[in-house]
Amino acid sequence: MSSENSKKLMLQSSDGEDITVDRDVAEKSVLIKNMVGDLGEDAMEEAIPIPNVNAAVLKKVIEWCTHHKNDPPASNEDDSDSRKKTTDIEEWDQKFMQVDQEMLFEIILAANYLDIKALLDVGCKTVANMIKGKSPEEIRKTFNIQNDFTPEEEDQIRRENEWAEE
Amino acid sequence: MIYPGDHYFPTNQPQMIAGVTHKPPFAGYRARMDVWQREGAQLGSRPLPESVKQESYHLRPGLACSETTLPRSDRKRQPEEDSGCTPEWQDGEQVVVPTQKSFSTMYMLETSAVHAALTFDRAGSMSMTQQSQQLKGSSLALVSSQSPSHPGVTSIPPGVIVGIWPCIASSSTRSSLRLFYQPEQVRPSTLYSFDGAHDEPDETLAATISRSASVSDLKVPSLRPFRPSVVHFLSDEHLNWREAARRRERDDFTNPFHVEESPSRKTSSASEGTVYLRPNAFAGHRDTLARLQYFARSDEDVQALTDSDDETYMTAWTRQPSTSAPSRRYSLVGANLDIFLPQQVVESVLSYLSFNDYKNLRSVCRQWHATLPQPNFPGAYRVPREVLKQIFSYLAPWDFDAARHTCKPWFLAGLDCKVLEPMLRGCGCRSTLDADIGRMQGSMVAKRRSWESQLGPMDSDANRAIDKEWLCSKRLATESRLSPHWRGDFFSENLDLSRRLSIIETIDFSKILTTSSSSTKSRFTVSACGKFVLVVCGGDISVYNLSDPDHSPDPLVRLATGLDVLKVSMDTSSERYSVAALLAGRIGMLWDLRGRYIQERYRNNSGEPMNLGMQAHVQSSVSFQDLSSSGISLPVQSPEMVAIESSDYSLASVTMPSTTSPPDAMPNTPFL
Repeated sequence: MSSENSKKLMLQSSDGEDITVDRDVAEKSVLIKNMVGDLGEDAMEEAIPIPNVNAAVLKKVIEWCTHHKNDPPASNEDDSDSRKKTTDIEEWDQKFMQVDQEMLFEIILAANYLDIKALLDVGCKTVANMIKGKSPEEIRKTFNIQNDFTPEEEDQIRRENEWAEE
Repeated sequence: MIYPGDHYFPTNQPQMIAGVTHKPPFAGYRARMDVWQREGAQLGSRPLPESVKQESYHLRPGLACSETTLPRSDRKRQPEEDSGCTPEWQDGEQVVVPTQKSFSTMYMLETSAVHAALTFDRAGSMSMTQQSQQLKGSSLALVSSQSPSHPGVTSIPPGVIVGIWPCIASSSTRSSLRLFYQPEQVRPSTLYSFDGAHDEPDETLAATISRSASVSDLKVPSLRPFRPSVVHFLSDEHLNWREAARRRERDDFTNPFHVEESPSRKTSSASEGTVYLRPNAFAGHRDTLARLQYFARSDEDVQALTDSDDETYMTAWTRQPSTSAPSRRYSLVGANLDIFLPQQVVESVLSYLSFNDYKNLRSVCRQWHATLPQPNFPGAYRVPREVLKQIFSYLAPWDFDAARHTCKPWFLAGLDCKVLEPMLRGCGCRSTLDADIGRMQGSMVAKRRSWESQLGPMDSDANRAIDKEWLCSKRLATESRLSPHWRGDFFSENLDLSRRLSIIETIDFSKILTTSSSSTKSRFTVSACGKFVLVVCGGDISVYNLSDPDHSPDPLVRLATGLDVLKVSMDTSSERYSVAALLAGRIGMLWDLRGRYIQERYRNNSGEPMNLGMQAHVQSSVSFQDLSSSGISLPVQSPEMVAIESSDYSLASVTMPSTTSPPDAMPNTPFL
């Protein structure tokens, strides 16, 4: 690889920790990649603040990016058709995502913020697999979600199936 | 910094106070004080300069005599052109009664303002001496009567002013503190003046305001009746105070500063610079957040505040006021954290409250919203809507239906045609949805015609009136409920009762997978009757018996199709032992499995051609064997049917395939 790729970038997490990472790894994030491209090389001497991601999550994200740094870039094909989507996850990614639920959602939020589409896909698939086959109440228990529908809203939802309620 | 006991000092130079340059309007004197420490401050007073005194008694005719009670809306804004007087601070004409929210603005005092305040409600109705005498009855008397060297001049220690202020806020006209404010010289942290008592009987709040409003050319902040807030953790003492507040609303004034009230002391460890109301301003101040009741307001008040410029008082809590009123409203939201209760106290209080109470607290006012700790929601709550939609896109329709009924944010995220339509398309309900939309459009058109016949022509478009998302949502809910994967209602907590299907037995089919030599992935399909499971692996279909108590890993029969199997189905509920398969290339195949017993019984009514609506073969086992040399060694009893009795397991070992049909083998039956 060229010497450019061996350059290091310093990322500063929300809790103030500086994490040094290879540039090609950091540029798995479209956000950082665009930032580096816009600000130029000189601006990268200082730590790049990542204010929405704490150090623990940032390290996990970097771990994922390091493992997938040689992956081909994702195609820009329109994947809006859900029929093409599967929730199959690579084995390494499955183990990577075997974290507690808070960390899982933090990774998803970080991937969304840093614009790492592949990592976001893995996170969403993991959550989707946790939802599959569960009733709403089971999903609430799984994700510690409170049923915040008002009685009026519940009535409206019941009207979705008013033919069955009568 | 403002400290108690600071003395007035003459200055003509702009002074930087709390980050804002204050230019005295004229040869002013500025008093600095700290409200918190006013109790420790000496109540000594200093006389005002004589020049100031003289001006202080100057009144303009027509300013002080008006007692017209203005309606509330008139109190919000007083047009400048209606004033009839030039705003001149020196003359003390700018008289404004601030709201009760503004009492905290008084930690700075300019003697010029004090001087200007020494005007009377009624021109010439009383002298300064009279005023001083009447002040003895109130807390202000401590000040005015203790100026031996200048009996006619009131000099005000800092703490007294702040202590008096709530009197005004609580609509007391007996003590009759009048606060004078000049909006043209915006100093939100500065109290300019006050006046003394008058000998009129108790008046309503509106009357007090009216006199102030009569000094027009000012934006008169509306004084609002003091209202109890929604906090429910008040003591009996405070409940009594609330009752007193209600009495005040009925014009029955109750002075909260009555000497009989138990004196209260500061119990908070707030910073020394905290600007605060008088501790004994109301009886319930010792109850944690109860003191903040003062800043709570009803929805009506919030609306009134929005419509007026009074937010300057609300935001005037800060010690770093902005110079522009509009920006001040927003810039000070988080700037007054130091006047809130200590974090430990707040957390302790919150620990006793439910989440709904916490949400109510955050909705009380801007300050509470900004100061109360942020809620720590589970991660599922913090996922943005676009990510939720992406998660939903990975779900089957019935799983999506369950997920969107989990909570309101998830439901709203799923209430999007971009999510719902692909989901319906995925489960083959697109045409049904179109039918729903067409039916709704027809209904709307019929209704419109009916209305037009009665009310005349209407310019409504039926398409606009149709809520497509709701139709998609209804269709998806219907299809999900009809699905065997439906897991229960969104509101039912009894999972066992809500499930349509329940697990009665678990069968381990891992042996099947291990014995299978194929590297392709196996797919399992349970027959509609629930007695068999069909394992599709590449082009092979293996039929296993679920009712076998031994759960033998050997299949009953293995069917070789020679083509990729897309879908397979079986149903023996009508005593017909058939396997139907949808193959690649839009080809359908149907096998009748007959044993000796079934062969005799169902020979004549099985194997008839079925119209599958596509290019289909009804494949008999004979022709199948002829064509593909299938490994299914069924006991062929007729040229058209091979069946196996489901209970005749002897065939299982016999029909174990040794070979399968070649992949390129095609059935050679005529097309139907």
